[in-house]
Amino acid sequence: MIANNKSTPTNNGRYAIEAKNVNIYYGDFRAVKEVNLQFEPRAITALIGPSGCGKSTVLRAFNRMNDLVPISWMEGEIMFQGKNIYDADVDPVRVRRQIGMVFQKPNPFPKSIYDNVLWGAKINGFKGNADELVEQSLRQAALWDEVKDKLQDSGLALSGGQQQRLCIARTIAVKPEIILMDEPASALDPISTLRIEELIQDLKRNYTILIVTHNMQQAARASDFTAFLNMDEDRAGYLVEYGETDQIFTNPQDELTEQYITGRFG
Amino acid sequence: MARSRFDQELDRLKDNVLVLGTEVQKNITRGASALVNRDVELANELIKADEWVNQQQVQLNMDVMKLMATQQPVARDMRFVASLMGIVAELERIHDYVKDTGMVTNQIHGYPIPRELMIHFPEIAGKSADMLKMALDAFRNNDLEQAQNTPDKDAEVEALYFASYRLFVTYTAEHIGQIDAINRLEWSLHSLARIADRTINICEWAIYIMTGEMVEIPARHRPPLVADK
Repeated sequence: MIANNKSTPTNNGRYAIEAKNVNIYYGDFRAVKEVNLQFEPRAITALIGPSGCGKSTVLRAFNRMNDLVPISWMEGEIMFQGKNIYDADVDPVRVRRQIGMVFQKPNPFPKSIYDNVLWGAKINGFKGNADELVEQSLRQAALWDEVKDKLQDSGLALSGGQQQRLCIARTIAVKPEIILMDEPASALDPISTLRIEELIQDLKRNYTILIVTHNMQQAARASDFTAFLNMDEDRAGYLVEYGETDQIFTNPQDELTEQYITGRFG
Repeated sequence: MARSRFDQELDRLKDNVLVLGTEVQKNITRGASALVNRDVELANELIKADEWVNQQQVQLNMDVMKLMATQQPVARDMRFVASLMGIVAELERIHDYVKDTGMVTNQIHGYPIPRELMIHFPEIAGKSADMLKMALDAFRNNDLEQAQNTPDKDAEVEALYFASYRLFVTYTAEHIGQIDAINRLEWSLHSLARIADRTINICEWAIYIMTGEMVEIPARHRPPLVADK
């Protein structure tokens, strides 16, 4: 089921990260059911599906963000670099450094652009050349040319699209292996959205990217692989189909996928 | 249904292709008839009809591109609209062959070519037209089996083409003074047989819509040399 012609070996073996028999609950309610997914390294995988199908919940499981929801609990394993990130001896803060997240709404801190980029790196004990890290991160986030002369201005003074790229620079600055993106362009105008998509394409040279999106054209344009999740009659999200994006959008194998991506769902 | 207008437009375009296909199919046998009966009036009618066919192709291509730009079809919808352009291109080409028979009818008018030389023409045209109908029905009804089986009928067209070709070679050897007219008539024979090959392409598009697989069904073989010494 997994196409592998784009994969490269990593220290995690074949896959960058892997969900094994994952069930996620909020109290008694099972929000995600038996999800098994293996993500290709240095590739972009889009998670698509109708509202409430659990795609954001699945995404958050990959860096233990669901831990922050008191009633949330999980069964199964998330394997990263040969280890289950939910093992008792794993530090969730370290997990989140290696597996960063970019949210739907840009959320820069009320600080300078410079300090925004450096924030996470500093918390993680960064001792190197700060100027260099800021410039490198902003360049990778395709923001450097626009802000290089105003690094001490507030991050909040930037446009929405620039703020989101600033948040991406902040994520990159801690040198993660994987970047999770939860609808990173849904609050942006079309041009800013395309810039983010271009940026994501550039970033995959160095990072494995998982992106949740409601925008199917975005999934088609910007991802290498697509996972389609749906909700069953108990409202639990489950994986319907996973494959190369080209194949999913030209010849999906499951009728439900076909109905969803052609807009004839339900 | 979440996309009822889109679905209506897809249905409309499909209907337009089928209407065009029916016209083209009808004109295939008329083309052979014009040739065999030296019917210049019918030939001119077919030449004129080709303008309408060309217009239909332009219109359909524009409609499909508008749909792609505004509706962003994917999956089966995308395969369907892309195939519409492919199928119409084949229909347009088939009608070019029909037009060619009309033009040859005019060109050979007054030449003393025996009717026997064209003895297989009506049957070749009839079988090609039948194949086209079968291919269009397979497209209309999403009938995968029929789309896969229709190309087999090409063997019958091929056999008749080969038989005709032998007649032409023999006749040419004996009537070298008429070689230009005979040659033009042989083009028409070739055109009528090519219709079956183009029809196979339509079957391939229909199969692509239904399965997502682009298949290549081999076209007719050329007849072996028969008269060289």
